[in-house]
Amino acid sequence: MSNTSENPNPSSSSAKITLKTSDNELFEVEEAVAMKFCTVKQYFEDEKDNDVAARGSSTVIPLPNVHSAVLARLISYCKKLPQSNAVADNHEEEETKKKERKQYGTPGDLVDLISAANYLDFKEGLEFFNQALADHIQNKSVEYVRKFFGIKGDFEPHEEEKYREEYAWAFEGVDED
Amino acid sequence: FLFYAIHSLSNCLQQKTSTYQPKKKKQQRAPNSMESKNYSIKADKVVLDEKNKESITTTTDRCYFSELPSHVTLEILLKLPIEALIRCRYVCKSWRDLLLDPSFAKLHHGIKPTGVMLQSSLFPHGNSGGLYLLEPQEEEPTSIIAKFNNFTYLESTLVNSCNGLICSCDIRMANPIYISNPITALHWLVKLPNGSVLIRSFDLENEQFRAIPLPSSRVYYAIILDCVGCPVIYNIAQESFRVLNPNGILLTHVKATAHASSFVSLKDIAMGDGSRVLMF
Repeated sequence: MSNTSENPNPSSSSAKITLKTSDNELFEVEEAVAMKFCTVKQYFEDEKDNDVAARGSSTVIPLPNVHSAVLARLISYCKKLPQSNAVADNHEEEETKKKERKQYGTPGDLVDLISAANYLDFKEGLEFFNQALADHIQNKSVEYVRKFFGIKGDFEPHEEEKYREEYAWAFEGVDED
Repeated sequence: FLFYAIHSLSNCLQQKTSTYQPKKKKQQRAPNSMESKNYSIKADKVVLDEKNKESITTTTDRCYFSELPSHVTLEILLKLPIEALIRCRYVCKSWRDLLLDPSFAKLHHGIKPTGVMLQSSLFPHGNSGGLYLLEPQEEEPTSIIAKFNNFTYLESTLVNSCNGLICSCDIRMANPIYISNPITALHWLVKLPNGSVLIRSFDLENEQFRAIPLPSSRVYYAIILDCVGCPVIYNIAQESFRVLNPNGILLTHVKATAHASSFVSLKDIAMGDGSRVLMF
């Protein structure tokens, strides 16, 4: 059923799917990678033609909500998914995973990745980048979190003060920034 | 109530429309009724390219909260440790309402690894000091997940814990009983009517005591007070009674023993000899 003659990469036997990003960049990705994005998968199911392989790279799937820079990162994350998705069963592995999560840049980058992963319905990616963002904000001050999420504090000053006193231990030792 | 909290979160989101809308699939993870109620949020379509970003940007003025769908924000908050959640509760009122909701605590408890609840003893006969929730790890250091210095019932003793809730009472009176949720650091005071034998079960669905007979599938433990007021835990599922020894270390089952004893051997946290270790 699969016709791989059009495949530009002869070493790979899987079919390719072309994704078009918001800035009109074309990405040719392996079917296995593309199918991780449930939105893309859904697109094919909606087309009532599940023979993705035969359609191959002739079909271009528009992703108007995803920028090329973001998609490139998601694809690169997707490709190394098997090993990075392993359950951390000891402290060392957890540290390794933490370091890995740090590689995905600034919180702004993470938010872009999360938004895109959410749009693409890419569950593993969403899980991973959510955790990365949680890692980032978990030691931050209230002020940082407010600024980061663009939220205005709406407590009365005396409420704030009382709260900080009551849970003083939770406010100790937060990061400077 | 939680739905209301999320609803108010979603109101903060900028309403944006997209020409190509993917079919939304519900998150499938924690087995909790919260999901079915709350993931059907309409305002969560976020359009990235409206800002026409040339590359991944890092402007400090960006409002990330409005960019992320509320169910994603919820997922991120669920991944935070308890200490951070207590800080986040103070970010704004809608976050406070969300984070204080018992449904949030239940979801959080379902995701996070099991901790050990430890109560330090100020006096040899079991009057309590602070409560500490610790994360037992294979290797040191064991980290304190949360401490509850504001555990105000200094006359009360930690009795037992299950499903993320802890039960404590005055060991001499055994009444009232306190049920605490360490994740939200909230306490419920439960006054039991006077009587020789009482059976009450804590209904996790509604977070309140109900009289037996139940037994519904949502009930896990009952607290029984014998005629001298000594608390006894009755495990409904296993139909087993367990008398609580107020002066000893209380452990619910073997798995807890392993967890707890590996922690007790650590010396970096001075708790005193009378410390109690309980499965949380």
